[in-house]
Amino acid sequence: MQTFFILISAVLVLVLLLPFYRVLQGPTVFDRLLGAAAVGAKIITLVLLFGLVYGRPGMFVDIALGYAVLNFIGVIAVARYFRTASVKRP
Amino acid sequence: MVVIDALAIILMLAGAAFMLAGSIGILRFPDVYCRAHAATKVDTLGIMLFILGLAVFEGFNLVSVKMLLVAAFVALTSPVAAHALSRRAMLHGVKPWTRKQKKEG
Amino acid sequence: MAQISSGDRSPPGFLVQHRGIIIQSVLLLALWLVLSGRFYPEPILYGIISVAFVVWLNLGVRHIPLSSGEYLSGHQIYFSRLLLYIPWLLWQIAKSAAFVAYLTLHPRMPINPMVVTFDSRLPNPIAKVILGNSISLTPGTLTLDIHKDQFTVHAIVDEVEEDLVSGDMESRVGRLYLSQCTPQEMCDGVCILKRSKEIKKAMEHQEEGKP
Repeated sequence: MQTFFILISAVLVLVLLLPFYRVLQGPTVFDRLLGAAAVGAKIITLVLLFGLVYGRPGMFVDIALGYAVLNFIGVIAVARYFRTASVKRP
Repeated sequence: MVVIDALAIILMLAGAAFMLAGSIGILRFPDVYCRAHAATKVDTLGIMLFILGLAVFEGFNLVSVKMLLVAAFVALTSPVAAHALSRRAMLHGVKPWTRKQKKEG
Repeated sequence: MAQISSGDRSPPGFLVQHRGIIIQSVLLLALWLVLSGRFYPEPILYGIISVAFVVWLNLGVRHIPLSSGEYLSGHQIYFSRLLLYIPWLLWQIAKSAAFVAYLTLHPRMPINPMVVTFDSRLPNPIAKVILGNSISLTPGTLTLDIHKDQFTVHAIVDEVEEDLVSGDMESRVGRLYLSQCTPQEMCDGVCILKRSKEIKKAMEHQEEGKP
């Protein structure tokens, strides 16, 4: 089971690189934000997985919960910010 | 014990497959709204399945209840985040991609 | 799990009058117990103190109107129907994720995005939030905007549009709050917007702080 966890976390890191391309290359700023939110959502599962790998899931699940809250608040805050900010057209 | 481990592995593999599909969707779809579709639905189901697999492996205790709480939180917030982003994109004049435009251009 | 109705007794009892506050504090206390994970008297006492503080802070919020002039408080949801609605929603999430994953992995990507607006007759803002989230999670649709009763929805293929305007989901959400409603009366004024200027115009009405 331990090897399976390490293997699937490697797979998850590879999956996480795909939306990262969107963060770097996205034509508009909203594409970049969407990519960042998707990366954050995958990191939540990665944190939970690391908790099981290190044998301390009780600690890492709290970190994952905090990360989920921060991910959501971050997206909402930036969406609020663009209410008044102007966006450079691609 | 073997059955529980196998169930957890199946759930986690399914979740990882859905996350892969969602990431490919974020890469392939033509505009920000279609990408929001991929990020909202496919990624949410992938994360829920994956966390369910982890909770099944953990067994029923406080930690797995917290894990399900994380899954419920993600399922509640990801549509709201996608809505906020796509609404702001529309108000900033990002044009939706349509099939017709592609034929003309 | 039956709904507490205020019609049986002539003076509404304490439980009925403060139903929202009681439900809120029970949920918050359950959250505290799950997150702290210690079931001794002392942490539970701290939990009760913080729950009381949060409920006291939220008392004022209930009487502030939203920007549309509606109030958040005073709506009674049918809990038994909510318990039936959640599994249906989970099933819809599974269906829609499989559908969009199929669209993603299809080599030619058979998508045909369009924007649809429609009016719904849901009774209160919370029902609209539930409907908006449900639309985002059901096959091929994404809520772009809700203003008053008008929903603006982005659909990724044109087949799902019929599904959307049939009013099935609206009546399901409406049944959480109303004792009965049919799909026909919940949804009308369907309009497919082709040009992005029209879409922007349909959504721009409530923006007060333009750049």
